[in-house]
Amino acid sequence: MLIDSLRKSRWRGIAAAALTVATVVASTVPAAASELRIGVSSHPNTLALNETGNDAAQFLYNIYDTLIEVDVYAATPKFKPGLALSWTQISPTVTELTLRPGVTMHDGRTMTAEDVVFSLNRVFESKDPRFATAKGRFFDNFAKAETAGDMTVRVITHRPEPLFNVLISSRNAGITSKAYVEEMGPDKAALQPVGTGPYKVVEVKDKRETVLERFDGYWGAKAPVDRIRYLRVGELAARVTALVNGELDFITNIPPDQAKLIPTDKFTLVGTTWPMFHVVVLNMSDPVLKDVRIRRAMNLAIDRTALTNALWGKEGIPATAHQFPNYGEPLYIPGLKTIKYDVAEAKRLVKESGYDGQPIRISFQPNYYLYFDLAAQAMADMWSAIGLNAKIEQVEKYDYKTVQMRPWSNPMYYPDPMGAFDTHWSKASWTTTRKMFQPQNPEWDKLYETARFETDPMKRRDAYKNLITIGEEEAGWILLYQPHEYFAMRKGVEWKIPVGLRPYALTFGDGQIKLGAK
Amino acid sequence: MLAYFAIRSGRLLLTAFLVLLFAFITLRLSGTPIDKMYPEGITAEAEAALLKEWGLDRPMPEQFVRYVGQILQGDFGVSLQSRRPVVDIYLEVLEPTLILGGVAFVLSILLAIPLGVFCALRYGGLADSSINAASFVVYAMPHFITAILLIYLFGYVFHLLPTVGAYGPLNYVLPVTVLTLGSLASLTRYMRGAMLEQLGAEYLRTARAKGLSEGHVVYRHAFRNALIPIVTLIGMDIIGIVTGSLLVEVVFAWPGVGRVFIGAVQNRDYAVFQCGILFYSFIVVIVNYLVDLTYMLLDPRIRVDA
Repeated sequence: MLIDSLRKSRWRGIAAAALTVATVVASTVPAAASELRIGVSSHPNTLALNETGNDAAQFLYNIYDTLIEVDVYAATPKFKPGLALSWTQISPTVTELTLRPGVTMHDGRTMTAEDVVFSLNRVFESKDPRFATAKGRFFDNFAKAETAGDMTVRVITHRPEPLFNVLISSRNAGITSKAYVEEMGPDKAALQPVGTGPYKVVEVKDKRETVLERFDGYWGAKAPVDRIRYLRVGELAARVTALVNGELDFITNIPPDQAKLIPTDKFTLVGTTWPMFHVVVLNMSDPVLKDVRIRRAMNLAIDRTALTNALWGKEGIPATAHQFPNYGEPLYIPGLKTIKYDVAEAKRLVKESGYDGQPIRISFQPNYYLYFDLAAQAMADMWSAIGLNAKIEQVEKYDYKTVQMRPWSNPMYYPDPMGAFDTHWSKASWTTTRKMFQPQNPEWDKLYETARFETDPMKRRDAYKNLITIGEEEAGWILLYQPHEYFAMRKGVEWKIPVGLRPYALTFGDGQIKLGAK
Repeated sequence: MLAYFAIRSGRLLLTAFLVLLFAFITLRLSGTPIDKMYPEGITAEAEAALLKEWGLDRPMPEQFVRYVGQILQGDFGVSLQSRRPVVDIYLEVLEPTLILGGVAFVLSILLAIPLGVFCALRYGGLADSSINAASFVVYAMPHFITAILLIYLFGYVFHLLPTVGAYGPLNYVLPVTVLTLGSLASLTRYMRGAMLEQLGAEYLRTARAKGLSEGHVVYRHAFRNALIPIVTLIGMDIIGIVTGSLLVEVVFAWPGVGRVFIGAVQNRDYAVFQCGILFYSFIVVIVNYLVDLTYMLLDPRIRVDA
């Protein structure tokens, strides 16, 4: 409103005059001949290969390569040679990979099998607890890597691995320089890492600012941008202003209601509904929540359509089943609806359980996920309506001995049912090891086994369908919605979302960005 | 006199120690860095292994004694997040913070003193009323509101000034303005009040009766005496700028001490936070100490009492 009235008033004249001056003065963030200045909302602790967060996904794809690569724009996975030229399964649990010769790493050394084995074993063996999350999420079935010649490595899994290609192409299986890590020590190497990717890290300023530079020794087609400067601008309003003001070229994490602030005549908005659910994890060991009827009632009482429309507008998608179209058919089952909204049944279940009014708390950390505080308030009301004594509680930390519920997200880390499921609900996940998630159905383990390790896609599909149907009945999780977000960039920057990769990945390699004149 | 110094210095060290102790305990009670470093969750085994590696599995009194022992040897530890020495992290960002605070401090004094005197001399007039009213408004407005308002106008609407980072002189304009305005508003009002008090004092009548010119009376007598209470306020002004810069640095994505400090609180990066709290508490106690000393030098009555 204020903007409009200012624009319509006599301020317009002043603004016009000011604009002339603005072009001279405003762009003081140093911009090289071809530099992309990105405003991000958060920055990972380090740029090392153990980072698995959304914030790290903005960096890692530009710094590191993997042995097998995936077509970043193919909605269903298309694999291609990366740092390995070819790979063959030589026994049910051993895959042999022939490495690409002459790959120069960012420290100037040439990549060898030693570097590959060192990089992979850091995560496969996970001797450093920092790698435990990456190991649990992707590589629980990976035993070790070993050299089999100067340019040949073998990757050994505990059991036959049907998801070998997709898992080995995840960025946590990226390759770094063994000699560099040993010289610098793991801490310094994590901050100023060496990879083999199209950009090398040249400047890191403590989670505030990181500069990548085109790596001229890159083995593939050279990157199109000289420098990428990432700035952490945590405040959304500040990020939007810095873009509109010409201080940044590209900004991330804009929710639909804020996208309106960006004038589309000078800026491009690229929106996406992420293959990711916002989730509430229920503690199945909790004295109140261990009653499956209470959990099921809570799951049935959520009006996901109302919640999604209110928070994410028409672009958000209410959850209907734990699956995403990105898997491609037959693994994706169109029209499947395992999640129901049934207030009458929810009330009946609460009554049947003999619930005695003990409080049920939704605990959440401030600013964990956008709008979760609002969602929590709405859910508390929905649960009160079925007779539960629901309370919301903002906490600094979760005490897993007493926590009843906490928010989480289930992003699709790779386009396969397991990409959003095994990565979150496997036996290696913290939800299980901390005894929050403990499915009781005797079929669970058998179905999980088939969905995870079976090679026949139809058998996997059926097992997975049964698994997620039982999952909803177990109600150890409550899936809410798929959020919608925008990226914004100045005109002249051409970029599209790499749908073949996990949510929030930013890629700026050859053919992935065009940086035109301002 | 010596006893006065000794007591003051003792208090200074005790205050800093208590602040550190309080901060040490409260941040630990609020949780571990694990919650912030692994917001997506981590297994209990990995958490235990990390806490052990960082020495955070030890009882809190033991951690505190070890930490105090380290800082007495000049070792402020390393950041849990970035694994870099804490001192390096702060030194890297000290300059932009000092320039920001320094410029705001000098500007606020250079502007507030003449403005206060000007208002006092035109007491009740239109200029006085307007400046006084504006001071009230600015004084009542929190720094971050002023900052967001200026960012909105000069960045979003008119595209006149940069709003993030400290890349060049123009980047200083908005944050310096926010910090200066806050101090300027309070200092101007105090200077005006102090000057009015002196202008109404008996001794000025005597001075005038002696036939001294009005300029002489105002500037050599009233103005000089009005400056004495302002000295205390200048101390408060420094503290106001230091604390104000915490928020201002966050809003303007300023690469300074305040942003590192706030980040350390948010991430529970203990060593970085503890070093920061020592830095800030030392500034506050030392400024108070210096103000006391200056006051003593300026006002003979305190000197005698001491």
